[in-house]
Amino acid sequence: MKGTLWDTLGRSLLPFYFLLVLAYLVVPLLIVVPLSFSDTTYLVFPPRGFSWRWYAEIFLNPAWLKAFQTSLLLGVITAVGATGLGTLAAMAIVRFSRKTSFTIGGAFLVPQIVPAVITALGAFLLLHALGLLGTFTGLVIMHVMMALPLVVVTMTAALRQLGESLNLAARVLGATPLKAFWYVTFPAVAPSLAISAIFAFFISFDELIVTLFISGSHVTMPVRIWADVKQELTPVVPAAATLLTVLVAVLVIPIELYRQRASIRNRV
Amino acid sequence: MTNRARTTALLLAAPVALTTFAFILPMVEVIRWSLFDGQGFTSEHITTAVTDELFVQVLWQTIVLSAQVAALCVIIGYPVAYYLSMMSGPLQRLCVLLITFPLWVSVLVRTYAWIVVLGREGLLNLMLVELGVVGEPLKLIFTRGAVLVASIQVLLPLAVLIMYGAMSQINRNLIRAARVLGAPPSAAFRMIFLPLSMNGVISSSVLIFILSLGFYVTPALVGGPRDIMISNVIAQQINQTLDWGLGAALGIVLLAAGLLVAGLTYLVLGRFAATANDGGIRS
Repeated sequence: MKGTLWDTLGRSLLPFYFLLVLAYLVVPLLIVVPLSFSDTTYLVFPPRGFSWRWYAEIFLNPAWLKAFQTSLLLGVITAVGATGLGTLAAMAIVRFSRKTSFTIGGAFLVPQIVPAVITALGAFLLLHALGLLGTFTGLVIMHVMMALPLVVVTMTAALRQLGESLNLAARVLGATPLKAFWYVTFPAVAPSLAISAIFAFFISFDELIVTLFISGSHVTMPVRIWADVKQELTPVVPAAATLLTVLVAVLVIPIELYRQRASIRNRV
Repeated sequence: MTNRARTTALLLAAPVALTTFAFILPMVEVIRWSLFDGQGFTSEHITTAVTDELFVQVLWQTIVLSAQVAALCVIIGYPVAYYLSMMSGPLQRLCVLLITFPLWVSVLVRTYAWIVVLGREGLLNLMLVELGVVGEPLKLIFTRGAVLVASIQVLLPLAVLIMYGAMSQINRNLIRAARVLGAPPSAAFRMIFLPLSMNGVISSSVLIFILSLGFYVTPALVGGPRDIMISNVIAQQINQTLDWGLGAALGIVLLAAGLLVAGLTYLVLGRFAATANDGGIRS
């Protein structure tokens, strides 16, 4: 079969184009890494010397350490809360007929597509009215809400794939609903629960805009970086950025690999 | 109420309660602040938001930038998604991973990287001067171009993944059939693959557009003073000017503009999309 000039040109250029775009997506993430090891007290490219001092700064400077701890705590609470509530929602969603469950599942996704600044504005106004502005409770509630859609999507998919037959079998054999959930459903969806929890953790851990509006004195890692990006020009921001990127790499890459393997298994 | 329905309602109670409290009530608050003041109903905030020259200009500029980001993400991302859908095996998995990974890195961190790349003494200027391409550093950062480059990098993975998802649903036998019947590859692509992948194009452009409307970090970090977006103005009303009613009204206008444009996009682009009914979905 004979192709036109365009086909040949397209086929030979496409791989190069693909690599170029990949580089555009990934290289900027790597560029901050060498900067974070700079021995200078100012940002300079290429970095001079090698030192861990900016990482030490994050863990020894009380302001940075506190921000890191706040983010971790908030992230873990969000992960637990959102995974719990999202799983409940998913268990309800799969009980409906296909069409209804699609609508209800979709309704849970609406917060995801509202521009963050509007969510932030609403959260600010509501928490202010309730006197919860600047409280940790307010932060937790909003973070759980923001992490919920992704958990609902992940768990609905997992539960739908599992189907009801195993659970029914357990019930027929005399298990109470709770026992059937604990011994049958829970172990089967445990990987998806872990994935949901980690995703929820990162949604909270990375969140800036809503947190900026409502956090008051509870400074999280992104808020800390945000404050420093504009004022400080030491390599402490690249160090913090590298730290966050590495954390994502360590937790998210295995998950993505697992999900890909799982999706291939299901296809076969 | 049957037993089953009661269990379902019980399961839904807590998540619905949270969503109501943390999402619906805040939206009601935004509407309330934009339409009411101490005395009662007022259209003053909304009127200011849609007539004040500065706000209108910033809103327009936000919509234009979001449209540009959405269009460029789809145009740049389409061949990438296409190539990705043609791959297979471990290479495909690696590439999907490389594209997914940046999505999980905080937008703040990714935008910060662009300060390092585009800064006056940044990587790009350093290379250009070193290579003798330019005599002195170019003004790259704090420009509209910088906001575009950084915003596209932030949202492109999402566009690629959505279009890739749509493309991997396409039944390749249809293309083979077209080829067997004598269509050159470009015609088979244009008449079969393109229409079948349009759903992915539409969903990603609408989603990217809506997400861009809310951009806050990127314009503030790599844009100049004239590149502020509506989000930055809203934040200003809340934190500095303390005119919450006006901030809320601007939020409502932004939301309305977003819904309007998203709806129009569906209407216009939707006519070009082939659907499952046309036999394109792999069963």
